[in-house]
Amino acid sequence: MAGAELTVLREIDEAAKVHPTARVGEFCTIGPGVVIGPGTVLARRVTVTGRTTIGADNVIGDGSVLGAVPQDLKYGGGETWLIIGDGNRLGPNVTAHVGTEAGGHLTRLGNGNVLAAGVHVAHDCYLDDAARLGAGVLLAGHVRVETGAVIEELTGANDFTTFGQYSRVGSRTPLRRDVPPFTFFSSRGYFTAPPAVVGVNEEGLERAGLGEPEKDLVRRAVRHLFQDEQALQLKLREMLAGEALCEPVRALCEFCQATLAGQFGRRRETLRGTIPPEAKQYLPAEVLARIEGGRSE
Amino acid sequence: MPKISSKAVVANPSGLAEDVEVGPFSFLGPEVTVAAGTVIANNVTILGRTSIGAGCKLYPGCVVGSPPEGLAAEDAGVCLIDAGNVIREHVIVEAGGDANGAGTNVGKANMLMVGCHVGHDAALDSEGIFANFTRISHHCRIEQYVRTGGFTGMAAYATVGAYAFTTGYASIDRDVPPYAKVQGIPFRVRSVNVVRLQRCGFDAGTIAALKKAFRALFDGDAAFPAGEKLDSVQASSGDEHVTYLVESLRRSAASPSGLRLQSGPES
Repeated sequence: MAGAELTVLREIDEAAKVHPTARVGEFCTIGPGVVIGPGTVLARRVTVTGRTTIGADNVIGDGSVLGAVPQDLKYGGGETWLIIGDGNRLGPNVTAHVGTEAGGHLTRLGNGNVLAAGVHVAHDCYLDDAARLGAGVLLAGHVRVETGAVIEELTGANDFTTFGQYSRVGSRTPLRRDVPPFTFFSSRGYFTAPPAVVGVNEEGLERAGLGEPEKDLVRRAVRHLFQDEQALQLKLREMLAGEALCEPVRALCEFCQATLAGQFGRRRETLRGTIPPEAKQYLPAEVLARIEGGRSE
Repeated sequence: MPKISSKAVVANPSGLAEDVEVGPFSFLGPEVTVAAGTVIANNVTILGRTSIGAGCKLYPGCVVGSPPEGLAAEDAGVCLIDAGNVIREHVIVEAGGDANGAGTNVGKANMLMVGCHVGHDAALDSEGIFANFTRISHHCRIEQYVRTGGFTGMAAYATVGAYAFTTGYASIDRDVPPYAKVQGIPFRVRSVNVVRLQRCGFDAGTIAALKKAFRALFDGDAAFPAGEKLDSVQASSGDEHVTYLVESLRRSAASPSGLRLQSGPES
């Protein structure tokens, strides 16, 4: 009985590699190019399609669709991937698309991320580890979310934005530029002023495991840099040239410098039309060789 | 024969053209017709008196032709989807709210990205691109070549003019003039949507004429331009697109709410 039910209530392609300890719920559809690791649980009505690899011990909520083709009109149907690491928790109706040829062929979620209901992860996004995305968060294409970032409900990110490590973005923020690490970024007076850094993400400092003296240095650096964003470049240069900085403060300064070196307040703008370093890091070597070979021809 | 998954429920397979594909766990009601070349993925629900045109793509989890909130299925109107539309994951297109009315109409080659909503009796022209979570309310009219940013919300009966662009989170509480780029809550007209016009092959003279008209008409205020301003802009430019802009604004300004469709459909 169990065997018959398994095949009638699920559509699992014969070519899909589903680990025997993975659990696939009713009315799930799994395409031929899919790999699902041990202990991963798919709830009901989940669709996994495209060239999608899901690691171990993930939980995917009802109605989620992973690995569908990107919404980028430049996508021409090439070989592109969605790779999901281990221990992620995805709520219901989460959507994540595979990458595009122009953007680096890869969309990636790392380990231990939490994506609440209705989150959308577009093509060529890279989430590192332990990020938390609230319900209805919308990431446009080519967005990078660094480790431990928290994005609250209904925030929408412009394409090519970067969320720094252990930063936090308030709910409903129309985000157009990079969020520096360890900061709290918010829309302030709801659309009367552009969103900006409004303080330190204290919870992030805690999660990053910083000691009390380091926390204090980060707090002072954030206040110094963002209380008044005038002459940010100058302040950064002074700080980096001055006395030895502790690691988190140096990371903050270097992040801001890279952002200033980009366009429109987005460091990743410089990566338009190139294969970004993340894709080089996470794509399988033979795939990368093939892609780079195809580009140089 | 259409390629229907053995795990799909298609109440009336004769309503499907020869090469239509239907994925597993999809449900197509008894009065649904689907034209040639359309691909319906898995877990798609199509209800009511809905017809889908040729070459459309429907992605997992979308619902097309569902009766509007609170209406019994038999009282709902039609839902007409024209050719070449892309309807992405979790999109909802409602059927019409009047059993004998014109119903919900989606024109040719629109793209509705993940999570969009099209309310009952809305009318979309052609070639629109609607970013994720765009909410098109009931009785809205979207003219051709419109683009919206994510989370754009529209009031019922709103008209969005041709070639307009709404930025992310824009709140459309009154009619959007054609050719405009609008932003904010509630929205303000920011500029001419030059990029779209160039891509659609408008010549430099027309774009310059529209820019001049926009400078004369919009000052960052929410109110529609006054009648005298419209008269002088119309008198000073012979361009047909400027005339269309002025006429659209005149019709919208004539309605107390700024929603020209609220007083009934245009002739």
